[in-house]
Amino acid sequence: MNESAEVREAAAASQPATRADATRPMLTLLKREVWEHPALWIAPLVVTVALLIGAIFGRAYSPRTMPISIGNVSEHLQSARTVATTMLVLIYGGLQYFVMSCVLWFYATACLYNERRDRSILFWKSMPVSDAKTVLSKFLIAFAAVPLYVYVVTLLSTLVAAGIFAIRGFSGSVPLDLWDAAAWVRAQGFALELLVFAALWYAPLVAYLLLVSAWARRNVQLWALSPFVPIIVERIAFGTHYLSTWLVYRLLPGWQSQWEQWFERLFTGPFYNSSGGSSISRGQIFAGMEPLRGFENIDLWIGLAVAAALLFAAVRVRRYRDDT
Amino acid sequence: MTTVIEARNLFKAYGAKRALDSVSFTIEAGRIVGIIGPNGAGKTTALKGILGLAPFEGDLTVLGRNPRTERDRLMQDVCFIADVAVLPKWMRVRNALDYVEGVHPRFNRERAEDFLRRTDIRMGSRVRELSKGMVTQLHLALVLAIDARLLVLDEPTLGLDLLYRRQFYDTLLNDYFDKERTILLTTHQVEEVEHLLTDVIFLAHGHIVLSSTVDAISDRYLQLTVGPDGLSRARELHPFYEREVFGRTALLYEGRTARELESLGEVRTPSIADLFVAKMQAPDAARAPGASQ
Repeated sequence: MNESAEVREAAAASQPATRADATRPMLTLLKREVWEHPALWIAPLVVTVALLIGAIFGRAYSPRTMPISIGNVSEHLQSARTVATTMLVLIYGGLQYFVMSCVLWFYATACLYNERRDRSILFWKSMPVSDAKTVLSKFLIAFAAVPLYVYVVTLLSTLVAAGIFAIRGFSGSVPLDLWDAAAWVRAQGFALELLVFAALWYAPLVAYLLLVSAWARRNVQLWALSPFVPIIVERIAFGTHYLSTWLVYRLLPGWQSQWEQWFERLFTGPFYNSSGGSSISRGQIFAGMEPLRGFENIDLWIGLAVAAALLFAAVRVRRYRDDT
Repeated sequence: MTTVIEARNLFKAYGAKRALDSVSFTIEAGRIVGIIGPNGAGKTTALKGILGLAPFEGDLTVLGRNPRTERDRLMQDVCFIADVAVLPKWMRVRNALDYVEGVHPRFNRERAEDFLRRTDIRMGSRVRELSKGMVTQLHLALVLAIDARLLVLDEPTLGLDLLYRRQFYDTLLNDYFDKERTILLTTHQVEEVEHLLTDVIFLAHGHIVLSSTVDAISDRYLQLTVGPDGLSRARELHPFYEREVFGRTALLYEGRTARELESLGEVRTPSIADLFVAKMQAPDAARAPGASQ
């Protein structure tokens, strides 16, 4: 009786422990990446601080620099709020994701390269962690963990910035309250859609950089950029640019034209038109910008298959490369 | 007795150079085995094979597993210290403990912290701020806190001063080693480990020159020291190595009894260091390609 109770208790105690044991090594591996590469979490904060200092002291919102008259704004007040809030979210996001892309590029090229260069791979490999898990942890950092973290940081920073603008508006240095909560929610949703699409679209790029990182004996950055060599050769030798067209497509997935239209709408729309005109609605701002439609693109899924193959190759290379 | 490592016909070449050439050996549990050889003899290559760090040809079983395909599982039972300073420089001592605790099911954090408390190492220090000796202490603290069955050490005390070296081996013997555990180490500083080894494997140019228990060495090898007058008689008994020391000559014999030699001069068991030097210069070591005399 007593014994069986003990057994039950032990079983109950071990159940959650087993589940924790299963995820704990991966969590530890992810933490280890952040310890080694503090830029992953510091860089977004630095950008945030810079943006918020800009929000406190910047003159972007002052009536003198805005190419509109107060009368015009009040005429299209809702439109002005919508555009301003949307621009806040997207400009903050744009800067954050640009910096993040640079940080992740250097992270992905360094993470499997540095451990071989400083021979610490001999320590990592003395631990019961498979090469697959190691490579996967590094992929997850660049593919999901850091983008999500930057998303949250950006989201919070736009709220703080909105608060700063509200205070400045109240104290008179900014003409108006330019906050539109519904537009903010819509823009955040849009940013998240874009983020998910971009993470999947760029997965093969991350996997490629990890493979280069696991493979290169030296000059990992040069090797990472080596695809540009055949492009130049193609240009010079054949005068064609199929490769560069393809690479541009892979790096900027057909967003160029969408972005152009979109900025045109934002900057030359009725809000800036001093002669008046119709207001722009929330729906109109995002019309034609549908990142989720990218999921219908077969190239996205082919890219994911390629990413899986490249990750597999990176695991094999890490297992067998012996240059310590 | 359980077999910990079973190696058959290990072969590995780097280009034309054969780092390992049909190397076979067996290591039983509860032994302290030294793989001894000059630089470039293939010691590290052999260890890398055992640890699953590098591919090779041949059959190798470590604790019943294939290190080539099961490194991660194997490392639950095997600890490894490569020569000093492979701990990542950027890591803090605290993080190192966190990391091993997070990924190793047999790590006892309290034990590691206990050990570290007896040193000058602080939890907040980064590895790059520690001296070489302290890095080794840290690595040792991590390893001693893991309940492993096989400990592999590759030149673990290279570049350390005498104090740390002595401390390292003392800790290993007193706090770690027991009859269930096996230690495999490589070194070229033979004198330092000679008193703690139970088995030796001499490796030269990818070949095993000698593989023996330390006990068997005293049965098989004898060193005779004679003055100039006894030298010619001593040579008639076919020593495989001789060396002149202060006007007297030390000769090494294999398979002779003490009784045969006693009348000629002073007889004793050669030290492992002497035997190593002799074996490295004896014809069977020299026959390997690339050997120079």
